[in-house]
Amino acid sequence: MNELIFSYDTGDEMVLNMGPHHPSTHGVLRFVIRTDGEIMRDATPVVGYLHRAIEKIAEGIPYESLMPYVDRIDYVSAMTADHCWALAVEKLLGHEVPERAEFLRVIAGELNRISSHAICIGVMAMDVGAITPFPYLLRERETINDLLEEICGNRLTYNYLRVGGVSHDLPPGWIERCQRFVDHFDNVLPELDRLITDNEIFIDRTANVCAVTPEEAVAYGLVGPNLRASGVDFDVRRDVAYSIYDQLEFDVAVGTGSMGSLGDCWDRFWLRCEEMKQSNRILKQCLAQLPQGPIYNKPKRIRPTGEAWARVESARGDMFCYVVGNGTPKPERVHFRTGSYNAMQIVKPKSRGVMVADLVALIASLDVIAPEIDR
Amino acid sequence: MNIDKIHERLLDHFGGDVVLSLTAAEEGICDPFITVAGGRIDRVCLFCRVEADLAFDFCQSITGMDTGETLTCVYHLYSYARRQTLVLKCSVPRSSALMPTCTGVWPAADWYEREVYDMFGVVFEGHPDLRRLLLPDDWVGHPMLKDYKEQPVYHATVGPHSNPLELEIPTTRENPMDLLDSEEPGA
Repeated sequence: MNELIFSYDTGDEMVLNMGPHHPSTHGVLRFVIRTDGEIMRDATPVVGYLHRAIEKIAEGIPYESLMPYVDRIDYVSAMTADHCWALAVEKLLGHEVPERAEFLRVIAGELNRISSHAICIGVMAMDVGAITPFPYLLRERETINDLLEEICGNRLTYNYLRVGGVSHDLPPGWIERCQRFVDHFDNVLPELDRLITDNEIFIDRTANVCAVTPEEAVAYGLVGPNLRASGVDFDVRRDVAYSIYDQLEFDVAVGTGSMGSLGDCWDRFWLRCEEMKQSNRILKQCLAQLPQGPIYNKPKRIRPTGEAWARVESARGDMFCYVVGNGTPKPERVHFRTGSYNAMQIVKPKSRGVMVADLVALIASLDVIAPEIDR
Repeated sequence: MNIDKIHERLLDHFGGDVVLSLTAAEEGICDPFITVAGGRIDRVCLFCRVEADLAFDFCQSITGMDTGETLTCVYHLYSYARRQTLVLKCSVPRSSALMPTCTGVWPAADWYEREVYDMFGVVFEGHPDLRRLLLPDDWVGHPMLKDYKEQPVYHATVGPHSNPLELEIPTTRENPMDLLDSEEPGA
């Protein structure tokens, strides 16, 4: 790294630091950019500023105590991150979860996915110069935060899931309130399309920018919305079915390159809008089908041996957890691999030869969250 | 294709270098894995990637594990075309933790291997840019090892400096008016 920062004799090249504290880097994240005027030679991500040693901490505390830390891996979509950890431990224990708890997990997770995508596309629009959509989307997110606060008491890091279920049942009247939001949200998305998705200036700004081909996306391990925007039809919820997703009907949106080339920034933006529609559809089904019954099947003893992996479709894509038990209450090894981690790797090859301002669009469209990279 | 068939396929090509472990899987609580001899992992990975019936095009994760006398690298592979999963494990002695790199097989392995080097000190031969990923460049030791001792001084990016909470703070007088009183009148 040092030779990059201090090599000034690079001819016409200039070496610039973007971040660690920069409004468009979404967390504490740094890029060392070599530019020739406005054109970038490349942008090298420097990560680790938010490294909190969660994997090391996990080795020193009981399985069930890690849940609040997992929240902090992905603080914008903590429900789905929690789901990943709960699923891994349950798989290791061979533990059953009551059906109502599965529904509550999916409801909470899909609400959280909507709020996470709302942040992503709102911030992306803002980063490329459109301020207006952001407060509109923040308004929707606020309603979701209120709903989630009612079920678990927290607005950001929920700590709602437990190994074997969830911590609280729904308060009285919650289903009606959630139904009201879901019905209202159907009208928000067409409004959003008129406001930004189909906006000519926005399309000019994002179409054909930093297109990722399907081959590149797979080779660099892009996951989730970023992968699907490049035309790869894969969704963990459908293809590695977990929880109750096999009982639910939803479509998996795939990028088509309709405004420019396949896998460009606009495709990634549009795909998240489509995913919010599908999440809303899932929510409607879950609210209608929610069964009665227990919400928590507490495991008697969490002292597993062996190893297990779990994958969930987090808001930032396929989140992977690998856990090894050694017969004690504390895990031997825990590893998380997240969507942002892989998305960040593709920034360097994709940044070659593009404008500095387009780097902002690229990072925003990949929906990178710094603590997810550093853990 | 289930794990037995994948193992047969690998066994045909690599012989005794690949060993299937089913001990834990028989109890029904975990995923079976295949153990690969240290120096062959890159070839096994390449084979898994290019063969049409295996087609493991997505490297989900490469991670390390401290297993006492040895360090183990765990490879989780997935195939989008075939919808199948494979777990490979590869152990190297702790004293000479050298592994061939898989960056040529999947570009995604770049950061995975940098993180394993950072946290466990496994050196991936042939890696294009093997630097620390998450920790500062001047960090001492590899903290995910079980015998890692915390350093007395925290190494930030600019070398050692002492804990600000332990600095001696000079005491000041409580009331600034005391200063005025102590001045000699007319001085």
